[in-house]
Amino acid sequence: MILKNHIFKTVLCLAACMAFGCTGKFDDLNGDPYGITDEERERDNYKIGSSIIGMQSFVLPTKIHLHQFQEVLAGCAFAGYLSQTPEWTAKFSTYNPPVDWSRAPFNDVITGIYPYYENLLYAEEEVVYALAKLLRVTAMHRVLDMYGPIPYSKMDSSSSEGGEVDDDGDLQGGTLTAPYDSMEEVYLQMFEELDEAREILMENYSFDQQIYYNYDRVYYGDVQKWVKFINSLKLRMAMRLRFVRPALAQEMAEDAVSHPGGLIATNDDNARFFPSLNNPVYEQVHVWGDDRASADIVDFMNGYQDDRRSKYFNYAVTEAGTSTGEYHGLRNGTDISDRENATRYSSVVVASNDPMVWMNAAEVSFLRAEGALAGWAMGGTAREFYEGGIRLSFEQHGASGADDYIASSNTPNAHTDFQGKSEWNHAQTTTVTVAWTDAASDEERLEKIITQKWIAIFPLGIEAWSEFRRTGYPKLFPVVDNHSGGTVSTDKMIRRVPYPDTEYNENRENLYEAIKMLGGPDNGGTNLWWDINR
Amino acid sequence: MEAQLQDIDVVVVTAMGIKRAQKALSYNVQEINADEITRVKDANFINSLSGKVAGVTINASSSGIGGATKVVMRGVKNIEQSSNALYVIDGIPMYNMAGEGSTEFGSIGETEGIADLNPEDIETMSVLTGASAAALYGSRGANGAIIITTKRGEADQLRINVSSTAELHNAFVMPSFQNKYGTGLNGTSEGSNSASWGELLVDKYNKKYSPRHDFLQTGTVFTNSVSVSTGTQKSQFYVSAAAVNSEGIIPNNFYDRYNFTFRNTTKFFKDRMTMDVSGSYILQKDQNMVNQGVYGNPIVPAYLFPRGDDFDLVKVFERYDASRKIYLQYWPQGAGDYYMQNPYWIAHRNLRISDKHRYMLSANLSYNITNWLNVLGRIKIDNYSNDFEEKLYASTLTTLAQSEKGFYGKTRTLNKQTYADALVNINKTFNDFSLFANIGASFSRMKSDAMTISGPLDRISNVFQSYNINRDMVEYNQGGWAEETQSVFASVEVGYKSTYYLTLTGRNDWASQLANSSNTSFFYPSVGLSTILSEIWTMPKAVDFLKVRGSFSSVGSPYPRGLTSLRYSYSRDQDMWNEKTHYPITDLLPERTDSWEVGLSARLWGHVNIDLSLYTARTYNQTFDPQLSVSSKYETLYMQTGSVRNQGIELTAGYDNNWRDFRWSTGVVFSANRNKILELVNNRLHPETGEYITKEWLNVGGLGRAAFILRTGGTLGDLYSTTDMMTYSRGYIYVSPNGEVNLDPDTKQIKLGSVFPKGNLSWRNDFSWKNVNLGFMFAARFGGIVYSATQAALDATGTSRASAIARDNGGVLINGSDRISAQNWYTVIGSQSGLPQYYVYSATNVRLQEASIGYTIPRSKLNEVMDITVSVVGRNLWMLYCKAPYDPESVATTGNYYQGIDSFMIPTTRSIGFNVRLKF
Repeated sequence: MILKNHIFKTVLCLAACMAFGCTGKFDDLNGDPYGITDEERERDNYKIGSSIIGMQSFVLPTKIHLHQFQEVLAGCAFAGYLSQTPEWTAKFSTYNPPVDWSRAPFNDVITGIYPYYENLLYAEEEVVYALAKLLRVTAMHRVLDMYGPIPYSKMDSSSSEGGEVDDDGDLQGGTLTAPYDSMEEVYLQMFEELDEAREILMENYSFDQQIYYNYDRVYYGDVQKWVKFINSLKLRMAMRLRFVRPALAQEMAEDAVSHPGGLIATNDDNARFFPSLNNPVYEQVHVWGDDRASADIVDFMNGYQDDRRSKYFNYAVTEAGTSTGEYHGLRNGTDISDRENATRYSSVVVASNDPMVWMNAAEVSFLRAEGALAGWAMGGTAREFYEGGIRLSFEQHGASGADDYIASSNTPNAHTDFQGKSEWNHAQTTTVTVAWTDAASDEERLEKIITQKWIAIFPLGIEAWSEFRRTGYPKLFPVVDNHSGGTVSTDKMIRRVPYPDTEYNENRENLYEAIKMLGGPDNGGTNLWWDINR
Repeated sequence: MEAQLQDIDVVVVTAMGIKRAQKALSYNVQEINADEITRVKDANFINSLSGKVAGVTINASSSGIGGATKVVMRGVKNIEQSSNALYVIDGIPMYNMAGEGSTEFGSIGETEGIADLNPEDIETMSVLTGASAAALYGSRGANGAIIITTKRGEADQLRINVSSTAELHNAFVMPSFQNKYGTGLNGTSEGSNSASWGELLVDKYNKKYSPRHDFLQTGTVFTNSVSVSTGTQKSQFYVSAAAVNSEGIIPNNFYDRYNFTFRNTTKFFKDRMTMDVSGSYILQKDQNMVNQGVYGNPIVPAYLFPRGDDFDLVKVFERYDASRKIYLQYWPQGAGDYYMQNPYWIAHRNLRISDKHRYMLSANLSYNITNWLNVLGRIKIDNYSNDFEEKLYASTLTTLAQSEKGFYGKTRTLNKQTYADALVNINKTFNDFSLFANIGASFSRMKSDAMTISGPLDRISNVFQSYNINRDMVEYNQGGWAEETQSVFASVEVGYKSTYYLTLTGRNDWASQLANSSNTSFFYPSVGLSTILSEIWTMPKAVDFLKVRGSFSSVGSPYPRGLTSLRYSYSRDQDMWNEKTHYPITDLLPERTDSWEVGLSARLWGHVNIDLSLYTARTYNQTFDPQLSVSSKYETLYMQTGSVRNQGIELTAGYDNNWRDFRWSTGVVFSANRNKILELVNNRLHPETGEYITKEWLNVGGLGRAAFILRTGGTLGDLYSTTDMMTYSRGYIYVSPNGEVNLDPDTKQIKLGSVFPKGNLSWRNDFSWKNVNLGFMFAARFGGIVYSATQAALDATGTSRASAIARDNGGVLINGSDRISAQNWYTVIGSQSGLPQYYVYSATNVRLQEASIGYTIPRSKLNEVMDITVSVVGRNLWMLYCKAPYDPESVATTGNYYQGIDSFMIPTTRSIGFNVRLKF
């Protein structure tokens, strides 16, 4: 029995060791061996820095599939920029997107951006706080203009429902579902947030650029350029309200233009995001071969004999694989039966390391042109800004012949399918020319401005589609195959993207309130608040 | 340490490799001897258990030969964690390292750790279906365990065993196809190169294409093995070698395995000390193991091949391109909706090769201090490296290859398992009492580490090297994980008059998964009672033996690793260490399974054996992360709630008798399990927000519009459809003026049924007369449903027989009176994996699962040199009843929520084999 006791003691000692001595490495074993700890993340300001880049990478998404769903398959297709080559029978452009397609641009952007946003808000660093506010507006106004009402005001942890942050910077409290705000409420709050960010950045106008040089892939820490971006974005958003809230739109636009920080006025000021990986458009067009230039933009630019074409597009390819020496676009919203042939239409000129343009000087100039046309104080005439916008765009792309172009009285082409698919042919949609005439009607001049802006901001899909919905320009071709089951009119074209199924499942009550605010059924046929169906 | 044997007692291997008299056991143990495993062979021997053990559901993999098998005992228990059974080899748990197998966005089939074993090395297997049986193995034992005892040398005897088997395989259950209507749309040859909604084919242009005969081939498996056993009273050796060489029914798919095993058992110190050392080395290589899916699965274009085209033309799958000086894929049919390529191109030019080297070394030292006290120490290491290579040749679909020049990827994985334990065993009898106890401690660590480099090729086509990968698109992946468990445990069994037995066990685990939480360890007990009624009372003459037993256990298990050790993981698509997308985690507690079991064993009339068990088990405090509304800013939230109950019955009954030279043995195995979700998320206080959270249901995924949705009162296998047809009043399907039907964009929850069986029954018969033996087994599964996205795709593309019949009839009749075009109807209900409610089938099936006939030429006729046994064996010979368009017992993955879903699974096979066995 003595021996037995001895053995018992040994086992107990072993047990004690296990309980108190040998479990110390458990945290090291248990954690992802190739992840980083909180302590490591604090080094070299990585937490703040990566959160700035993190937010920036959800404005025009750098995650390729998210970019594809949001900007290319929806935005660029609805804007007449890019058409898809795969033989998909369900897609955005034929108005029957699969469920997960309408999920990603909503869910992935929101869950992608907010954790970074929280990190930045509580970094106790004014400039960082201002960037957080600004970047949230930049990313979320795109989601807003795609879906309609979104959860916004109650998503901010500085609001009481959003929870509070403790001493360690961790979020405490917060809710598991948030209500939606009407589009009007969101726009008003966004204007306030832009003003708040602008004020902070003005107070830090000579902030040392080096501090966030490596953690800002747009302006490399240059606060003064960020102020220009804020003013330009405010102008863009103000213009969106021109027809629904004219007084507010004018007030916001004039405030943006008159601000001492200035606007994006030269191509040096362009807001461009430099991704650390491949440009997603490059990957989708050239690696996957999923997208080709749409008939819309190619027929407009062919008609105008636009010299930017060689900077935008490659020549279409013959069946034998040789160049046609011509630009030919693929009709949007068609059922593709032969991918191989579909890829022979003009592809897009984009390199793997090209930056992703969020906003360029040409767009700002066209916005001012429209403001001037509306009689707002934009610091110049509509014509000056219109022609200036065209020149800025030619300069941006290194194209020549801007002067001839500005004087041109060419009109867009009808669509004749170069592969002989006559069912894809379409008559000319408009006879609008490039050359400005002050004598022309307001409507005609608006069409010129929006049409030229549309060409100049290629391939900024969601923005171009939003402006199309707001103004009715450019005169795009309707889709060939409409599979919406009657919810979207082929003539009116698609006005929004339906809410994701996950919100029906997880946030149903709030979503039903949102659909009431939307003022119509949750499908692609319902107009958004600022889309007064001109 | 071996139990005292009594004449009629059967000895079985139980926890920790300890042999116990079956009559003392308070839980169900079912023994399978080696003959049953080796007679009707399978490259993954686990499949040969199917139908032979009550309470176990075995689903063979659609990955084909050597694929990972899903083994679940007494029902699925876990919402999130695995419910798959534990494997124990010679008393030591083996973590079954394996991928689960791809689901929707992949097609990679997987083999598994247990499939590496050479079945010829197995002496016996016993199956412990209940959690109580496994209480001593630790947490993983809560799912039940398969205990494998391997062969060792025999004293004073030389035995040589040579076995050789050749098997032929062909596809078993397949969908019904059409070859009446040709390529095109709307009854014309125009509009599509890939669909078969074209013209009625004139006979002379009809190629009568058949996927079974024109594409699938006869698979072959050759298994050869030799084992030698020899030794003296002091020292015995066992040495074996085996080779499996096989080709699947898909061209260019193979699975090869070579096993080498050595074992020595030696006694020292007047036979008081026994040292048992063994080692084995396994080489295993497989190519193009495909389980299902549309990406890189040759079955897809083979099934959907447009029927007006000539399949012979695509058999020459590549054509020389003089300008590029390489062969390029020939596939004028195009990718369609299903990422199709030439099926032969996929088979020969989209290669996935896995090459595994594994070794296992173990040592076991035991010392008998007195005749009732023994100490034992064991250690085992089990390491392997695996190289997985993917080579997509130039002109592969760019969606997959991302380049015109091809794609290359290589993953090297290193897996290590180390196990050590020490035990003290006591086995003593005092007068009427017997005591059997063991006390021990164990250590177990598993580590996995993998490095991948992959990407599209950049410069030279088809040069598969990392140097040739596009610098801008190369992906590096480093991944790994580790788990360590330290345990102390004890078990005591007290017997009285060899009639009453009481067993108590307890175990305490310290698990690395619990790092940083307030509970870093957990204790779990079990208690059992067994009484031999036939020893107490005088039984009727017919009753030879009668035992009743009952047990309770409460097994703890850790939540998934990594949750409580905060690390920010690297994300390649953002090139950053990312923020978490789940709601911040608070303190977590271990999960528990409480189970009760009662049983009865009887032997009647000398020839009848009956074993019956009833059980109920509840698994609660489960950790999972349901989806949140994104308005919370997070995708998911970790919660600890959820309770799942499994109740069921296991029955085995057998009869065995001899009449002179004739022997008949027959047996029935029946099991039924009822799975029920008792609680999901009901009024749980969220510690941070102070909100009460109730989730009426959870969507845990599925395929396309079919989703497993968990609800209180439902089962973990409830499959729903999330979409319906657009209807107008009274559920009539809306038909537009131009004859189109549409899907309703609003999401729905239409319950389709549960994928779990209601019951499984098998019946076997073995006859022998002199040297001839004959055996067969029927197996039936009752209840449950399956869903086939394959059938949906066949309908959508007009390649199914149903679509041809509809066209013959001038359309599809809906709403009782509306006839709409077959193409309109089937492209709506069949595309995008189909509308599940139209593609659900009863999973009930009855089959002749095994049959064999053999003849032994006895030693006496062969100059006492050897026995020769020749036999013919068959598996899956005849499907008597099956309403599904595929074998409903086949699964694509061993994961929780893909059972019952068929998306182009590779068909299971019918096999016929010829075996010769020489025993010297």
